[in-house]
Amino acid sequence: MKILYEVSRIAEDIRTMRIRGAGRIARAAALGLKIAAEKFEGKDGEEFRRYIKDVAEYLRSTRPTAVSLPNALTFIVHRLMISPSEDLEELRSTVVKSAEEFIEYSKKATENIGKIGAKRIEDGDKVLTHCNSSAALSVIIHAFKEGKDIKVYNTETRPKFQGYITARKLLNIGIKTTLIPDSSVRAFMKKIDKVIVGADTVAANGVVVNKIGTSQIALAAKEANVDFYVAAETYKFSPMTVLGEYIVIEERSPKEIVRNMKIPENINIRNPAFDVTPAEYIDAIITEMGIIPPQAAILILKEHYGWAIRDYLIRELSIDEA
Amino acid sequence: MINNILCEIGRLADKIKRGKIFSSTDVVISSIRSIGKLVSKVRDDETLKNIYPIAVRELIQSRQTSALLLNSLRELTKTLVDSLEETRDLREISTRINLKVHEIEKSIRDKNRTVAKIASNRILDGDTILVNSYSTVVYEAISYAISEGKKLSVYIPESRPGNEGVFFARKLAKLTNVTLFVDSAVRHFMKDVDKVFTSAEAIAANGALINKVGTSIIALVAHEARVRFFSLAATTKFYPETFLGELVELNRISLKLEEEGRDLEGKIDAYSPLFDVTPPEYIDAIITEKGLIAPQAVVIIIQELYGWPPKIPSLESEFIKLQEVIG
Repeated sequence: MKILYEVSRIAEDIRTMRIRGAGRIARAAALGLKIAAEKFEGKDGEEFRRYIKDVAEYLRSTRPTAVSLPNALTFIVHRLMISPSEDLEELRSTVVKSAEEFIEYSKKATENIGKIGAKRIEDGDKVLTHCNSSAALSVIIHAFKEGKDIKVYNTETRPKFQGYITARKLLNIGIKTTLIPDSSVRAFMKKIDKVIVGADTVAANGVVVNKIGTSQIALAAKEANVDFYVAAETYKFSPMTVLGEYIVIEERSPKEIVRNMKIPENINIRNPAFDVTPAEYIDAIITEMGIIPPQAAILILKEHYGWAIRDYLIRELSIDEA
Repeated sequence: MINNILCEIGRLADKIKRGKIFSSTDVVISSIRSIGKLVSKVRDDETLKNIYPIAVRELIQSRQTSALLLNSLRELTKTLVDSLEETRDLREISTRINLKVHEIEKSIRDKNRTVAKIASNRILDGDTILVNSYSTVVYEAISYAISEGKKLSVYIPESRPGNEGVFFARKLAKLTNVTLFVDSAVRHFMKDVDKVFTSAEAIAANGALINKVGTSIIALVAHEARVRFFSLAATTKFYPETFLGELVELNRISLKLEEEGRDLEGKIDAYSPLFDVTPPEYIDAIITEKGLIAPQAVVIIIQELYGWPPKIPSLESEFIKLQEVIG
């Protein structure tokens, strides 16, 4: 299989986290498939189908945890697979249009989350956020643009300091922000009115997989009776968890933690990129469709991914519930 | 001459304030030594009277959380006042003060050793111990347990700001297997941990623990996971002033921005308290040189040390006595 340079660049950027954040990863992957479809040089529809499936698999293998990536790819590949057409150009246009549709939907979803979530933010609130989430920032920025006086506390987010990106963005918009170390979240929690974070994956039972550190922030918020919100587009909900799939927590290179420091060999450095926040520590998940309690995640999954789940049951388990 | 020493004390205070000296024991030892040196260089009463309180206050203010620092400097000052009541020979005074410095140092080390021995009894063969920041007494406890033939492994977060955990990990790695991770990963790894050991900057009247920032979230996470949480603190870390209702002032330090955030320098607030407060209900026991106690029983030790109701001579009242004695 021939992987185009542009597509391999996207894959590489996702893998090395030059492209990060579940939403951006999903859009980049959709763009990758679109490019692959546009530049496909073969003549045959069946060959095109196989090629796009392979490229999708290649893009999917870049990061194991965030579900937005397979969801974006499945969204496109599914439409290609169910298309009855054998005509290459028609199939090509199906992929290109689906990719564009996904990218457009994704951008709008983040925007809508902002609009819906902003209603939960009150004038004078001090909001804590972790890492760099477009969806969470969308909520904060919308609330600010509605004229609410907001002060943000945001964590540095070791090891890669995504907190700097968040702080920079807020600074540019004119929102007052204070950068704090991850270790100090409990010390600061007394000052905080609301916590809002993003999500990499929402599982069927409402647990949220997000940047390492999220779960202890949720615990500290619970202890202090501070509202804890997760902002997540519906394509961050994982249909495969309905079928019992276990979410793999990616462990990344120790170099991200120690950088150029010389560390003795008998020190084992572990760098999990995500952790799991139990549903009972989450007050609500803000999606572009509305605000739901985390335990209602299955509703989103049934509404939006019923087809993917049915597809899997039929294909892998030969169960036809219909 | 005196000016040189005052500058030295100023630099020391600055280093302490910025959290550059990791161990609270080391903070205290370098502080009392510097005061010993100051007294030995003073050539007349008048200078002693004027300069001594300034130097001591500067050191106290560099780390107001440190009960050990306050208690040690209080003891040293009392010795100075008592000695001055007996003799005005400054050479004799210097000898007595520096003897006291040695005595305090020895007492700190002896007490730490006892604390470490008792703590090591709580470590079982095969335990995974989570530690944080940098602590000489926790190090001793672990090394005792290992020398008794117990096999154990140590988990440690890097402990930003300051990264004392990375420094401590290197030291611990000479004893046993060490696993290092970011502060955010504490909850992720807590299910692999059997016990948490931390030291203490200070213990307050209600048994609350004041320690390097990050300690309280570790305690909360340990509590959630039903992992035992121990604080290793000799009774000299008990903060007697808190019995009189005094609040412990937590040092605030600014965060150093790494290369990728340099452009934000001066444009955003970036800071943290150097210490945080762990409530007594998350602490399973405080391990002192007098034995293991529940945090709520701190008051009993205070009664032993200072009577009931506790009579706590304030450092400022010692300074007034100093002025009176010299006249």
